[in-house]
Amino acid sequence: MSSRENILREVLKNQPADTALPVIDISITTTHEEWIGALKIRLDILHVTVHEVGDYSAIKTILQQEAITQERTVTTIAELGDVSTYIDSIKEDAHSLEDVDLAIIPAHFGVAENGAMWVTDSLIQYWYCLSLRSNWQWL
Amino acid sequence: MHSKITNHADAAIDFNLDEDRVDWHDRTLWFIREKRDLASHAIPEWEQLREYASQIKNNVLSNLSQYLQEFEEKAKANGVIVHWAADAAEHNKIVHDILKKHNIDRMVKSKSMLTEECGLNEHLEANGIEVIDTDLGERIVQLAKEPPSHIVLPCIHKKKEEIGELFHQYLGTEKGASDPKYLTAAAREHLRETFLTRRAALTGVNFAIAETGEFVVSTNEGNADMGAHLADVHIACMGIEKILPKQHHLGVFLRLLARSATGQPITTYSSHFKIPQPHQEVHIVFVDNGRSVHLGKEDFRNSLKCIRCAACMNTCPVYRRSGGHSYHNAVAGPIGSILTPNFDMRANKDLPFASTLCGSCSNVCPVKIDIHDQLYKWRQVLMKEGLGPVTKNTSMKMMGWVLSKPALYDISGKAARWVLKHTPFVVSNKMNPWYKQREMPAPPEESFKEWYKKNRG
Ligand code: SF4
Repeated sequence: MSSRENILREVLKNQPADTALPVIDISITTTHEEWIGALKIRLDILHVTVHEVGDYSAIKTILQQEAITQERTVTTIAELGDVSTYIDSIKEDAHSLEDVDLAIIPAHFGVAENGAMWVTDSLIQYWYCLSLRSNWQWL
Repeated sequence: MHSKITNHADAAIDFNLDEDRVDWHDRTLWFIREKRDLASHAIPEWEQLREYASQIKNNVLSNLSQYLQEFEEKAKANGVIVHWAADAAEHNKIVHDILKKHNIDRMVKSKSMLTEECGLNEHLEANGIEVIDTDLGERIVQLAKEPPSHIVLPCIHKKKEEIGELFHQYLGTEKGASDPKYLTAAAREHLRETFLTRRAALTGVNFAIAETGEFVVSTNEGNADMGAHLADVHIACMGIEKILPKQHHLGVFLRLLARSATGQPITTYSSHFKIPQPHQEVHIVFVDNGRSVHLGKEDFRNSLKCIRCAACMNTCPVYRRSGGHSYHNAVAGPIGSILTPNFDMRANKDLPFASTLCGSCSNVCPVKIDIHDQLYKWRQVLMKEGLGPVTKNTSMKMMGWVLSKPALYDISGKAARWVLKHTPFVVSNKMNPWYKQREMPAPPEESFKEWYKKNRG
């Protein structure tokens, strides 16, 4: 008998009687504004700089200031291609991002309670960029 | 500061030879415990989350065989190759065979307590495969040729000067340098080159979701992501108990894990792996290694709910003052002391006694494991099996004999009080370990029985 069958047989034999899954009910009573405030406090604690911007041109202004001190910047946002090097997942080899100093990437959403960003492969293209940065900015 | 002693009390004596180190170890871990308190108190529904987590894990244990099969089916459909290992040897062979198939002789590995448990590094190195641990703390202990002493902070027992010395020796940093920022930058530089050149990466698994076949790896350094993303072959190894039923259960655990571990609101990187990237092979190795038998032990199966946050270690007064190596296993502290006797009761018979039974571990555990109750139950099992400490066995037998004879009990009490009063050096000396770091209160003038006779009789 294979290890798979042995393990499954032993587990089935020894697992206790079924217990129910809980119904998870955590109601959120906080308003949107309160969450934004909470998020800013949270990010401040995490030493993340927050900029509130209305459009891409405002982002560009910030990036142009940032880029002065940076050697190599890349972005996965096509609209920012004129202030940073736009990289495409199809053409770019992840290994070539070794010396990137600043990576500008979009996120699906941010989590107010913990300051996390949700990013997926399709948006970020190369996770490797993430770990090169030690200084995060939220835009 | 790595002890090869396999008895907790003796290894703790060894660790305590360096008083400065013990004080600083104790203070640092308590600081983390306090951070955990702040982080958990900031979540009004914290206790509710713990209850949910506990119930979800109970459900997992009671349906484990079904969830494992469900996960396997979904993972395979996602394009992942699934392996089953009955024990450490089979696990190590599976990993080795995958590497052999791809002609790979150098691999990066992020933190995985399971591979420590299985002795994977030693096995691969004996077969000519170089393994580089990419978690900074793990890399430090790897360079020092020591096992980790803490499941979240593997090199917490090391002083920064000692790390500076290691880095000077292996990474060419300046002699005498001990600035953590400088040392971290040097390590990053060293690891960056490693990530770029290795074709295989091994990671642990924090949570595997039966509903979707995806698995989640949490790290603070992003090293699991970098390794796995840049490699052609990603091998993820997990104990069979790491399953969660549904994706929406994950939030409960991610909110608990980092807050319990380090007081952070969330681990810096919580990476979800589901579908392999094009041209990449992803393998998952399910490891039993005693877990299915452990599941059958009613009094002890609860410890399989552990999510390895280390909160029980940080809070434990014994762990903080004896160091992780004194537990002579991959998982130390209170949870190690109740897990390891399941796998080898004789080799770990000392560990359930390495506790004050204060219950602080159970209070902080995010999945509500009854840790201190299990420690107590293990003591009862060990004493019954005749595996208790020799001194305890003899003194318990003697005590039982004395207690069964009231006249003898009276005389013994009187004699003990007389000795403690007139010749205290007979007990208070270096031969008696109780007096090593303690002073005892003065003996009472009379026994309770004598007092009762006089006042109420
Ligand atoms: S037993 Fe509980 S507190 Fe200890 S490591 Fe496991 S989950 Fe954390």
